[in-house]
Amino acid sequence: MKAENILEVKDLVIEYPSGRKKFLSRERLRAVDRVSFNLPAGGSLGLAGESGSGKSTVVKAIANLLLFNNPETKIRGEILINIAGKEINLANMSRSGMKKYRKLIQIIFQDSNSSLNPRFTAGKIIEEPLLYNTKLGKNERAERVNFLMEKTGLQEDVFFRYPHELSGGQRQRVSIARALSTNPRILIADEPVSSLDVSVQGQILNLFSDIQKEFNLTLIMIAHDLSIIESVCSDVAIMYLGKIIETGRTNRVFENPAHPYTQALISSIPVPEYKSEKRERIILKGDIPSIMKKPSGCVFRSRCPKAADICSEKEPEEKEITSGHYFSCFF
Amino acid sequence: MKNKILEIKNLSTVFYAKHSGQGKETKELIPGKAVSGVSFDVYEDEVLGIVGESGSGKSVTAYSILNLIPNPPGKIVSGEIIYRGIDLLKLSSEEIRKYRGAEISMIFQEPGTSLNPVMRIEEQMCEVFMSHGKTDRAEALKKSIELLKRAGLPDAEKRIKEYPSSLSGGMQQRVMIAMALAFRPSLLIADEPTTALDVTVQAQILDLMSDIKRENGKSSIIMITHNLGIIAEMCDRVLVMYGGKIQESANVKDLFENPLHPYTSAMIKSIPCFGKKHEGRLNTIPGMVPDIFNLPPGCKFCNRCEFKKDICEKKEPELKEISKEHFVRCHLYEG
Repeated sequence: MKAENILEVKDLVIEYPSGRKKFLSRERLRAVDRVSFNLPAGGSLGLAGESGSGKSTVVKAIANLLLFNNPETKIRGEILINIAGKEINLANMSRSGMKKYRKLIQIIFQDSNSSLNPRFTAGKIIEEPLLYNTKLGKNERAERVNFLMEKTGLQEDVFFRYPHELSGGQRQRVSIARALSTNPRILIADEPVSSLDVSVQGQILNLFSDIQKEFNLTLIMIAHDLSIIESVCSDVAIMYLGKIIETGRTNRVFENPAHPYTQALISSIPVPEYKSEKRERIILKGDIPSIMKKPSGCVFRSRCPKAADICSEKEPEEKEITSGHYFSCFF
Repeated sequence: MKNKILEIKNLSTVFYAKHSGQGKETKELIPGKAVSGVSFDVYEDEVLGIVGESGSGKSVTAYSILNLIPNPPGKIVSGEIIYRGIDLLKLSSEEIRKYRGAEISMIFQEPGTSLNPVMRIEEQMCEVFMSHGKTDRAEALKKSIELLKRAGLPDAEKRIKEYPSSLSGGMQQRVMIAMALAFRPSLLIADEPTTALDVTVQAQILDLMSDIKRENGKSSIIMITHNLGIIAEMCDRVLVMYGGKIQESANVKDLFENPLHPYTSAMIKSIPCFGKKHEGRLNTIPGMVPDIFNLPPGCKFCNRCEFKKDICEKKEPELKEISKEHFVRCHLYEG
């Protein structure tokens, strides 16, 4: 593991048990297939892709929440984190073993409505992680909560409010304050703004940029909206059916998308600008296939406008076009 | 000059509720002004966009057109909705059913919740034909399959036998579109038709809607969305709504190249636009959308506006024509 990296994911494979039974054993669904990436401390990675591409599964594995949901999930490969020079593999870490590290990796979920306890006031929600992960006294905890509320732009009166009394933007700020309370090194945000209005979305995205600098965080953000990734993340990885099909610096990937899927994704974003002539768009046919029926060879070939015979025969290898910009396609 | 097919005059819709947003609950029911005094026309063969944040009244306007506001708690308190010379609000619930689906039809935001989960697609589609026209089952089935094929549903003959839950979001929306287009309506109201879908599928659905409009000839679409990108790509004319009122109305070109209302320009600046470099932070609009139970007396946007003057708090500005067919409601352009 390189010293500057805080997180290295190597050949991560995640399989869920499926309902169907095969002879003696259950069939397994491969939700994530040999995913590898590195994140330097202070970096920010955006994960993009359609629903069903496995992006949430990857971040849940990093936050060690998968075994918690379904103990039969199989995780192979390595999730290495670098804590004070020590290398720790989080894949298949037990619940009790994870306890020490959980405060270092925090996650913010998409729907702030269901991820905040409706019976707790905002103040208590932010304080709760401090109770279990630190040895701070009552006054110190209150001080820390006030500090976090100020940093996340929450007014003092929010402290005594319940989640249902807050607006969507305020609730998302409470989620962020809660995640920051334990001083994490890695912050994961799973579609943090997709349920918010456009005018509030900008406020929250700015907040992410601010706290990332101030708390020296490493950020992993999932967003289906590529323009959000462009404005917040320095690196991007595009996923399709459990694989990373293209990755690199955000500006390089978005200016010169190499994979046909990335090209199609970019061209399907509606651009809020008036154009007298309609631009030519690449429109993909059909939906993302189910992971139970993955195409042979290249996973994208069933929808790819460039698909040829070779695509069904073998899987394309990862190629590097410019430094750090990788993609997997024959063309 | 194009023909008007729909004319909305001074529409106001309120919802009665006990609470007044945050804070203490009131004893009596108080009206929340979801839409107040909205007037606009829809012309033949155009795509009219209505854009605004949640709570701005755009969906309520659309529901009011077909008189779909649940009463109670909602009520259309004033206004006329004139479709080809007939005021739809004066019709009885029996009479308006002739218009719903046949003349004016609607596509809703979440295809998953607007389809009946315990009926096969077949039943739901045939129902449309059988309740409006005098078609028998076999004929209805044939027409349904034809429509689904036109809406681009793969394997239509097989898919029609399935339940909505076994279709993907994109396919469900295709079914909804097929149903909405069954009688070649002259007006289609699409309420956030692609919000629940992935971008690639969104592009497919938007393309499908433009294709169908081209094929159908003189039909019009009211496109309700919060996504300015969709507005730019699909619409001819745009209404910007905020606080239950139209704040600006213009054709697409003027709206994006010369936005007049501070809200419109702030909104355009605040969205991350793909392919444009941002120097550091995004522009934002401080604060949030006003509560409909507690609207400010003057301009609805004044609390968040950077050009606020004293008069803005006291007096609501009028909707005023600044240049040809470009209307704005703002004190900056008055007097």
